[in-house]
Amino acid sequence: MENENNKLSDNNSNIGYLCTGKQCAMALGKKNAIRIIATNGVENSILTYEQLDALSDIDANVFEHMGLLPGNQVFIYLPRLLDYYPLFLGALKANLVVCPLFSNFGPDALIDRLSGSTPKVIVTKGSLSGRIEKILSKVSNLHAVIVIDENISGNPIIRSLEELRSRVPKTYAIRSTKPDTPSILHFTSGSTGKPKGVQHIHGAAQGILQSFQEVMQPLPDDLFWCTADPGWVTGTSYGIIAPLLSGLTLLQFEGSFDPEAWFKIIENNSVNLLYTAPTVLRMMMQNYEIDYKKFDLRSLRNIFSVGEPLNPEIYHWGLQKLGREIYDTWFQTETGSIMIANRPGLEIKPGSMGKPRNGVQPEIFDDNDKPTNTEEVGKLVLKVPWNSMFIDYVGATEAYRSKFRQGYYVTGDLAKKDADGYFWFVGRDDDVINTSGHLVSPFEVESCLLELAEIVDVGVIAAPDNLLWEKVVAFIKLANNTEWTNRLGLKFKLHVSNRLSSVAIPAEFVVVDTIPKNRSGKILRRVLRAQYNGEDPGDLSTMEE
Amino acid sequence: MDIGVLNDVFKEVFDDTSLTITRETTADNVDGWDSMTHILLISSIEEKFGIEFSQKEVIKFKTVGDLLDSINLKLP
Repeated sequence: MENENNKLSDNNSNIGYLCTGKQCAMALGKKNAIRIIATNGVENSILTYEQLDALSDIDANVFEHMGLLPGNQVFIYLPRLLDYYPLFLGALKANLVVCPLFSNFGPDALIDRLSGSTPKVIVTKGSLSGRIEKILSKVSNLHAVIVIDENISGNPIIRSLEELRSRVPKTYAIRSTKPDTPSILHFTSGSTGKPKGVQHIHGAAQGILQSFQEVMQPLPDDLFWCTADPGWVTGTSYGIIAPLLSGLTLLQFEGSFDPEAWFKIIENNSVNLLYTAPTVLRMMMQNYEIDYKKFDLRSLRNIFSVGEPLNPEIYHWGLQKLGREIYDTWFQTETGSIMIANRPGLEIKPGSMGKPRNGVQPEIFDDNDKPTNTEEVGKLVLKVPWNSMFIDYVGATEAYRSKFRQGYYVTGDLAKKDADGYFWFVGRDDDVINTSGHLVSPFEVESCLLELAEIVDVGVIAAPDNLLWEKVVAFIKLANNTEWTNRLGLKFKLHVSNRLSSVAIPAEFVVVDTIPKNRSGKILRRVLRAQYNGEDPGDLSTMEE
Repeated sequence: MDIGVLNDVFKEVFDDTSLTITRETTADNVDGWDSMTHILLISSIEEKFGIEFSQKEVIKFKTVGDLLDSINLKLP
C-alpha cells in the first residue's frame, strides 16, 4: 500500500520528531494521535498530534534539565497509560536511550535488567514504586526515580513528574539525529546468563514503517490497536512508532484481557486493524460462552498476530467465528520489525509464517551453515543488513558477534521453506521458552527457584501447551526432610510470580532425586525434556556420574 | 467471612503489604492481577479456606465482591 507518508525523507532521523513534529508539519496537528480507553472500557483520553508534540517537548526538557545527556538511559516501568507516550517520545527527542520494562516484572527481573545497564532515570507510577525502592541499593548510576501520579516525599531520589514538568520550558529545540544514533534498548532472554540488552537505532524507523505499510496496509483514517505491552518490541515498534509514523490514530486499553470487553472496544470505537497474540486468540477460542457474532465488527478490516506460531485451528476459528482471516507475522527483538508475514493479498497457508517482506532475505541453514533443500528443517537465518537491525547486545558484544555467520544473522529459530517460498516455524534451536508470546530464560527461573530454602537443585525446560504454546516445567530436587505438597508448589509459584514475573510461573513441578548435568556442571535439558516426554534421552556419555 | 481475611490473601499473592481491596476492586485496580496470577489467587483461596471453585466460576468473577460472595456460599 503506497502512502505519501511511507518514506522518511526528512534529514532528521529522530523517531520522537518523526512521530510528532513531522506529523504536525504535514498538517496532522489537529488529528487524534492516541486514544486511551480507561479500565471501564468506556471513558477515553485523547492526545492530538499537536498535544503529543507539545507534551513530549516538555518531557524532553524534563530529562535535559535533570542533567541527562545524549546516550544516557531512561527506563520506563509503566503500564499503558497516557503519560507513557510523551515520556517515551520526549526521551527519544533528547537522544536518550529508552529502555522499556514490562510492568509485570518483579524485583529479581528488574535487578537482572537494571544491574547490567547504566540507568540514569527510572520512570514509574506510585503503586509500582515500592518494587523499585526494594532494589534501589543494588542499582548504580541512578539519578532519579520519576513517579507520574503521586507526590512521594521522604526519599530525595524520588521525584514527581508533575512538579518536574511545571519547572521546564514548554518548547524544545529538536536535536538533529543521525540514523545510527542509539534509540531503544529492549531486553531479550537467552538460554544462559542474564537478559541481554538489544540496542536499536533511530534509523530503524524506516524498517518499522516499511513493514507496517507492506504487511498491515493501513488506510490514512484507520484506528489501529496493538495489544502488546510496550515492555516488548511489538509494543514499541507497532504499539507506538509505526502508527504514529503513518499519521494514524492508535488505540490503547488500560485494562486487562477480557474477550467480551475487548470486542466491545472494537465495536464501540470502530477499530480497523488489530494486532494481537495467538495466546489471546486461543483464550477467545476456548471461551465457548461468548457468541462473537453478536458484535458489530464491520469496521475491523484485518487481524494480525505475533509472538508464537498461529496454529491452523485459530486461523479456521477466525474465519468461522469472526469472518476474517488472521495473518500471522514473525519477528524478534533483534530484528526490530516484521521480517516474514502473511498479509492481505498473499494466499494463506494456515500454520505457515508466510513470506518475507521486501528487502528481507531469510534462508534455512544446516549444521554446516549451508542452505538446506526445500522442506528440510534447519536454522532460520537472515541476510544482513536489513533496515531495522539491532546494532549490539549492550555489554555483551561477543555474544552479538556470535550471532552472525557468513553475512547472515542466526535467529535461534528452526524452520523450513516450502517449494512456494513460504516459511514454516518448527521450534527453537536453544533452550529459551516461548510462553504466551514471551521469551522466558530457563536460567532466570532456575536462579529464582534456588532462592528458596526448600529447593537444592533445579532444571527448567519448555513443554508443549495447548493454550500458551509452551509452558514452563521445573524439575526440582527438594532439600532433606522436605516433602512435596500442593501447598509447597503454590509457594514456589508465588515466589516466581512476585520475584520474576507472572509469565515465568512454572505450570508444573517434577520432583526428582538428581538434576542431570554434564561433567562441567551444565544442566542437560535435553535429558529432562526426554524424561518429561517419555522419550529416549539419547547419548548420556557426557553426563556426570 | 470478612473482606479483611481475603485482603490478607491478596497481600500475599501480589506481594504488596499496603494493598487494600474493596468489594468493587477488579483486576484493573491491582498491579499484576492478570490471567496467570488470577489462577494463583484462586489456588491460594482454595488452599486457605479448604474450598474449590469450578473453571466456570473462576472465569465469571469480575469483582472482589463476586469472589467474596462465592467464598461465603461455599464456607460451612
